[in-house]
Amino acid sequence: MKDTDRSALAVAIAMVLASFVLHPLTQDSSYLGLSWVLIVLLGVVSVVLRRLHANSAVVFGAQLGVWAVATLVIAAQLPAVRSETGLFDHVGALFGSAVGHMQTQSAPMTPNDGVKLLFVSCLALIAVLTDLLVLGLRRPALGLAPTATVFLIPALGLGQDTGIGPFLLIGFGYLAVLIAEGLNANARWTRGLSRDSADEHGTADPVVWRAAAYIGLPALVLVTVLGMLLPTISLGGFGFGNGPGNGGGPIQLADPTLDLKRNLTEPRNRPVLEYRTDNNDPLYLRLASLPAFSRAGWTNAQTPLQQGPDFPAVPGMADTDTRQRSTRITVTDFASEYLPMPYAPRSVDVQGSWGIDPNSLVMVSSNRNPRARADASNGLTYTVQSVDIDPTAADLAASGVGTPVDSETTLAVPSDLPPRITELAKRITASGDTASAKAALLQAYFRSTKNFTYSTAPQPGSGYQALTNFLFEDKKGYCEQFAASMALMARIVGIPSRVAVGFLPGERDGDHWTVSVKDMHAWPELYFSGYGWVRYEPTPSSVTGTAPAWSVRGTTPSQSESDSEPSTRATTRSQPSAPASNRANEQQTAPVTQAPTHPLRNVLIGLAVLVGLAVLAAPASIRIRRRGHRFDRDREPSEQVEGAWSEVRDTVIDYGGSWPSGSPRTIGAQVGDRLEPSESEAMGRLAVLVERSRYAQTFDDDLDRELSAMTSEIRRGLAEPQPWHRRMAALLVPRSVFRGLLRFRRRT
Amino acid sequence: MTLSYDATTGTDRAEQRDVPPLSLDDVVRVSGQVRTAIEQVIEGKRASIDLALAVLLAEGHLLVEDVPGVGKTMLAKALGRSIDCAVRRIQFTPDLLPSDITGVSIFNAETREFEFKPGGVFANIVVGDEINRASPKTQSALLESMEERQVSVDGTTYALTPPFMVVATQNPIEMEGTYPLPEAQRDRFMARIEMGYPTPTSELDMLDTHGSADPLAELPPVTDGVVVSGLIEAVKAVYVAPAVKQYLVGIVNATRNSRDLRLGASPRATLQLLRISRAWAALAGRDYVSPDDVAELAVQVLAHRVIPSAEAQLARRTAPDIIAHLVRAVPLPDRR
Repeated sequence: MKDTDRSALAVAIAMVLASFVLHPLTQDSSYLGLSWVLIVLLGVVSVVLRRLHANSAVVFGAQLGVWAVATLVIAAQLPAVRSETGLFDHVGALFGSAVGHMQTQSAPMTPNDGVKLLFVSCLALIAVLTDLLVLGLRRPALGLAPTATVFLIPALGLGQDTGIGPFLLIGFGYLAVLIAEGLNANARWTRGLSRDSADEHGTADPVVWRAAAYIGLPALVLVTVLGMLLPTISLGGFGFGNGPGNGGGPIQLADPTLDLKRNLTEPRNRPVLEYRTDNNDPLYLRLASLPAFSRAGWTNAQTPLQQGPDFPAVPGMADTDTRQRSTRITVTDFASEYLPMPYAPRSVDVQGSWGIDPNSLVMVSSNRNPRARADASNGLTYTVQSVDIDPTAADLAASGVGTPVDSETTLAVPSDLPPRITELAKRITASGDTASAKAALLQAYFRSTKNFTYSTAPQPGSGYQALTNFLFEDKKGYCEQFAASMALMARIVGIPSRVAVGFLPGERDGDHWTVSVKDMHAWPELYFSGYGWVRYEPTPSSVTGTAPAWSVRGTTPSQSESDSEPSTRATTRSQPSAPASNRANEQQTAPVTQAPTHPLRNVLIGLAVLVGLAVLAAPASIRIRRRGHRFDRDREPSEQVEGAWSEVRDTVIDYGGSWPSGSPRTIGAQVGDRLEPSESEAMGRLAVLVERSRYAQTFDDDLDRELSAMTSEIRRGLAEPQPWHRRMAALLVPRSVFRGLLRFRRRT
Repeated sequence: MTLSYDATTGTDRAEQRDVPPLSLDDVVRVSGQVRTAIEQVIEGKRASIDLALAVLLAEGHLLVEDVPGVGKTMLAKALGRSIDCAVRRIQFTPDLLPSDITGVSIFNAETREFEFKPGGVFANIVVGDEINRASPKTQSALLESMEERQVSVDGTTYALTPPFMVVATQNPIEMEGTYPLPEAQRDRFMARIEMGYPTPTSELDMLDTHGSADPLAELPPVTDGVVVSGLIEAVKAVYVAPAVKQYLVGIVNATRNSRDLRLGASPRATLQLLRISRAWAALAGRDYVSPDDVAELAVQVLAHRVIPSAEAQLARRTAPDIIAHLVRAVPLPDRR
């Protein structure tokens, strides 16, 4: 096999692997086959022409020609957008439609003809460029650049983690190119050797394969494993962790609050679902829970999903033997990727593929098809087993604030939050001494009709502006503003919180309850130890009726008990007076048992960071230790001089300079030329000292002070003209430490 | 029978004159005076003068090679004149006889005895002008005196008084009417220098100084033979570290293994390179030889002794180029 054949084959392999990277972008990836044909065709052109000793420019030109012709031919086969125009206009129209299509669709999209043509054409063009770099310009190391651009398309276009797959595809393709180059390099230098010598010693090719196996593959594996430990690369696509395990990366969740506003302002009210439950109590049905708060408002956080039908433990809930409630829900007219359920669900019997967020116990469709996912809940009838979180006001007062597993999200308050919001939160809760008291004060503040007016037409705006508008300016809003503000203020006073989106209980209709589109609602959930996420209701009673019993501040436990509504909630709790201390103990261990992978993962990340820091700091510390050793006053004078000389040498190398070869005097003169006169003179004196220590008969100068002063003057002189980044590099990554390696490389 | 013949007085001399003990500072001082004196006569040839001085202090002989008229003889004569000692000049011609160099025994009719009439070699500094114009037989008459520092005539051996130095000048061998100097004789010269043309500024100065009077006639001696002998002794005390010796041997060895050279340097060359390195270090006021000294002198000391191979000659590579290349390739000793 000739050199060029090998490299061309490697380029083709790399490109075919790279083409798979585009797979998650579209639902139908059949066009990839066409791109492979084209890639192979271009490879054949390259091989044949190079076998005919064609100039690289000729090969490049020929490949470009093949690429252009192929693009036009494919375009001509596609149904015309405007058939009466010429072929070039036709191609332009196709590309134009592709761009328009991609701008309006989100991945994975249904590719139209233009998109297919664009992708095939781009892949072929990248193959031509890679061929040019690897074979034409003989720069195989740069061959990564064009294929990496393919990697960028899903990385930038999907707007989410690309998963490990594309990275590995590109990595293996690049490895193939490098292996081909290694084999070629061997072929080049062994070409002149006689057959006999090759037979006796074998060829060097196995060395290349071994290098690929020992260095290339472990490097890819290492990067993958490290990537797994770091939080940025999601491994959902490969079934690691708790992902849904059906390939392709995480699911992009829709923002449930978008529906909220739209449905609340819809002119015509219509029933969306019905439910019937034990005792036929009214129930809040929850769709989603938004744990993350930022400048933009409340959003979803990305968490790996678990498979149903059984749910993981209720976060933070100590009582496990609470009686379960059974609810049968029929969704008549409501399309969502979230499944409406009472909190806290324990198990569900539902059709379709669903994933469970273990932190919020929200159930999300894990259907890959976005359209099917958006419609997942419609028309379903299912039964949910759930437990009620309904502590008494006294219980809540006795329990403190808990720490949920995802507390870093649910307690986070952005640092740039307008301070008046913080002040207001502190002022409202000033008289509350416990967490539950503070929560009750907050809720009372929002529910007071003196303070706020319910309106589905608040002033437009988003983020902080909308919040300050609601809290300080027009004081008008609907459930979303009330819930968002209370949840945020709860965080400010140290209670973990999130905003739930779902439905109000609706209207009783005989033996079942009917929920209408205007019942869509948002409410805050606050986290208390022993109970987990507890619902609060800051939206005024004109819409929501009475507030939950536990959320109203009572002066004494007994009073709050008696004040509470005569609902069955209190009686559903089997042991309303369980000892508080017992609960406290249980809740401390609860988060660990719920998700054992998380703390371990944090420890691993911590370890990785520590190891990384140690690795980063190692060169600098080696360098500093060496310097200290060199100026050890206890050493022989000649060794001290040699130490100073080595120190100057290492400093020169650290700043990226070259250390001349030759006698001390020659080196001294050459390095001195780069310095100011006085420093140059010091360099000359040091050089003479070195020469004397090495070659004179006796050397017993008293150099103690002089030597270190001289050395520091020279080092200062070397450092002065350097830009700051060079100095930093010299400090953190001193090249002299790697000098042995560099020298080895030069020798090989 | 060995006699000591005092060239200065022209009489036999029984006792050796006392050589004063001198230090390195004296070497620097005296050589500086000599250098200044010679520079009054020859402008801009500092390197050639220093090398000539080093050869003198290392008890070697100097071969000055260049085209006619660039001051070869002037350098030799100025060196002799600035030292108050016997200077003889022998003009080598094709009809010069060996006895003209060594001397001859003539029958004295009055005393009825053979009387030794010393030849041109009996001096402290012998200037052999255009040495390659004489016949090989005459050239080889210099051999014994240069190496042994003695002359044998009619069974009697006459020792030459130190300091003794032959400064031979020769025209490039390609020129007309020249006999190439045999390898054996070339090997006896410690160093060969090429004068080269003066720079334009030096040449302008030269027009001023040499235009009217003969500056050589006005050159006063700044030292004498006894002091020079003392300086030679002082130079012998310069220390050579084992590493430097190793380096030196490495360079000489490289000439023997080089593919560019048909004939490498002799062990005598090794010795002479060591001695001139000592003198060179002493001239710089150092009591030790550094590898730089060896490297600087290698071309001058070795180039005239080696013969480039046919391939190197075809490639137009001269002996100095080859030696310089070899010196760069020999690794420098790192530690003592």
